[in-house]
Amino acid sequence: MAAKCILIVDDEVSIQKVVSLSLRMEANWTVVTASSGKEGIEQATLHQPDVILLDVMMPELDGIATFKALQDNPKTQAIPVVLLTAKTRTAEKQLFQKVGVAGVITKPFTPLTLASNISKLLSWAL
Amino acid sequence: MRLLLIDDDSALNALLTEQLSTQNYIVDSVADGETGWAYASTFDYDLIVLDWMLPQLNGLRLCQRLRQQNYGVPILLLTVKDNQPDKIKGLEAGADDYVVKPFDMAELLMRIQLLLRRSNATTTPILTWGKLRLDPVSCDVSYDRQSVSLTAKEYAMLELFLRHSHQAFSASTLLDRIWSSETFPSEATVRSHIRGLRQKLKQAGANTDFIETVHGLGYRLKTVKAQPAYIKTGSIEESQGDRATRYLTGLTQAWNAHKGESLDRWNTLVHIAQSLRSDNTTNSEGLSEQQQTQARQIAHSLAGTLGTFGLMEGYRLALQIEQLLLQASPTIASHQIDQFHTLVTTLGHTLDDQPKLVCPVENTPQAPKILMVDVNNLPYIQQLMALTVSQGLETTILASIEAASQALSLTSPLQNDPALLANLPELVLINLVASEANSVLQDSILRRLLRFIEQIAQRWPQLPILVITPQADFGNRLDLIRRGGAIVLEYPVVPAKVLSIISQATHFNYRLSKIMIVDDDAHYLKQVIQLLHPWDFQITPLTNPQQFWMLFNQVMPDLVILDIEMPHINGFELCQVLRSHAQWQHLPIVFVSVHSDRTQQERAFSIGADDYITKPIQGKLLATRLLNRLKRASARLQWEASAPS
Repeated sequence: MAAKCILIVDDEVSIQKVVSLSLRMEANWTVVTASSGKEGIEQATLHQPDVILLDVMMPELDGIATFKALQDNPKTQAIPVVLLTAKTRTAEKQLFQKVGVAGVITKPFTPLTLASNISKLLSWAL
Repeated sequence: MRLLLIDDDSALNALLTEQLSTQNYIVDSVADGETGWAYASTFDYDLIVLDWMLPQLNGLRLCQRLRQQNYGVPILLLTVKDNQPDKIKGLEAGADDYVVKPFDMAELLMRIQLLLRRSNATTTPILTWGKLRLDPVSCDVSYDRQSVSLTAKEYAMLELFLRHSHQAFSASTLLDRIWSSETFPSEATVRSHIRGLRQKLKQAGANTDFIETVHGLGYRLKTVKAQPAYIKTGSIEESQGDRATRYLTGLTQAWNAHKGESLDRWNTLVHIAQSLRSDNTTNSEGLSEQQQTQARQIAHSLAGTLGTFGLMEGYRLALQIEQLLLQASPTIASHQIDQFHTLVTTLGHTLDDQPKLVCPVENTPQAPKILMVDVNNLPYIQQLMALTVSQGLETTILASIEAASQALSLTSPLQNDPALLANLPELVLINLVASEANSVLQDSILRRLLRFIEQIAQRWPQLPILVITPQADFGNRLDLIRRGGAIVLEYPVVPAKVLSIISQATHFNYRLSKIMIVDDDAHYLKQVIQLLHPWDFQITPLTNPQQFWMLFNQVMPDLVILDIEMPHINGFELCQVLRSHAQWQHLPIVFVSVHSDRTQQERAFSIGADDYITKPIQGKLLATRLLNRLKRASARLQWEASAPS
């Protein structure tokens, strides 16, 4: 399988690092990072990643708003989006799925299986 | 170094906290003796600064109590009294030093340092890193048992590195920490001392990069690790364990580099909590909607970050804070403010933890629920709540008997509705301590609480009730037990002990218990396994009773569930076989059967069954009854282990 390129959008650099670390280690994927929704949209347009991991709670443009902006943009609307969020109530999770994201991964995630969980969500062969 | 400052003078408190913080001490400050007791008995401190005159529990009595509980941390007493008998009283109560207000700040700081040094000299262990050994008391340094002679500055740097072994120090930080203010060295001086130190360590046999230079960050100790085999062979896949170690190293580095961000967030929460408290005393309206949202978002993000780094205690506390703020909308009640404050402080302590690899959260069983009923808003109970939450229990404090009665459905008609059972806590804790100063409750309140205990016991006879009371002599204890209390603890009791009692009383310790189920109906077995899934037992199913003995000896289960009617060998026979072995006399055996008639049940008990449950079964009920059996069995084991032979 060709190496995937993942864009992680999270306002916290530490989370970006941990996600990169585990994805590189587990699957040797390329990881591109962005620290805000706005930067995320720019990076997505530029790099055309295979999936975008999007933090829900970010200042200014939050995850849901960023997702909508990505959907409205013809250059990015085809890229699957997986939301990354701290433990949510079921109602919220359902809401997220209704918006049309490819999946939701809750923090804390299990770092050593993050790549395989993403693959499962997107039906990729790992 | 972490200090606890207990003083009700808020101006002095703020000033001291600031002064001590600039000296690199981490300070928790509280304003009354009772909270001070709750903190001191929960967290680790290096020193306590204690004011004599305090609301609730005064400093002298707090000091006595701490010493009675074998609390060894140095205590410095602050007071306005300056006469000899008082001084003696203070020292007799167990204080290590005594400073009279108004005091000179420099003198106080010096006294604190002296006390810390004195206590460290007796308790500090020898510092090691690989083959390096540093004895902080004698100041001897050796590498591979070869003595290394260092200058004072080299020694101080090495000790600093060893004490903060994962931290990198920049040249300017080293200047601040090691060089005193009367000299004016440059960063080149630091470099030359590092060179000298490396040189001496190399002569003793260490690698040149024993102290490594981290680009952009400064100097730190290089991680000592045996060279893993996969580097040499190259072709061999690294094992899961190696990968985990490597990941953990990365995780730790990332955490150390970004811990500051989490600390900043936490600090914001502390400020919000403090402003809420002072608002509360001036009766203004608490948080604006914007502040509340901000606090909630901070708690939420902190939960995500801490969880990702495996700081699970902090993760749970942050989630609880978020939950509390959600419930507190639109206005936050005063008892919620106190809880918020306690949770935030406890959270601060967990930020010192080191990252860990986390287990998946999705499949963890539901946390045991604990209900604490405290009509007096005692800081101690809040501390207990924070502690249980950090350990993964789902704890709620209710401040009125009415609210608690409602939560326990004491008023609803008697029916064992499954939804109601599912929401029932695993344990109820009831506080009968009024306050520290006057620990005995007002009579009318006490009577209502006692009546409440009776009501719970009548409605839910299986539900353990833990009572914390100021007086637990035989008479009181007997009275409480008669009313339905299962566990009676006499205040003061350290929170950690209460926590361990709670864990024992709830099913927390019985996870991963091995349960063997024998039933010839495979479909039914599958169903039971699903029903019991949330409780995390290790279940061994068996459909063919002829294989029972072989499998039983392989698994050595903690509990056996038997069906009655099975081909070849029936459940009664299996039970009798087990009971015929001396070794399995007390193994919990539970029958599950469609037969509800009395004769079958009587027969089961007569041959040694511990419980008999009729099908169809409901998951929570089955789990509760299995847990009851497991608890009894482990209590028996503990008793046998402690009883003289």
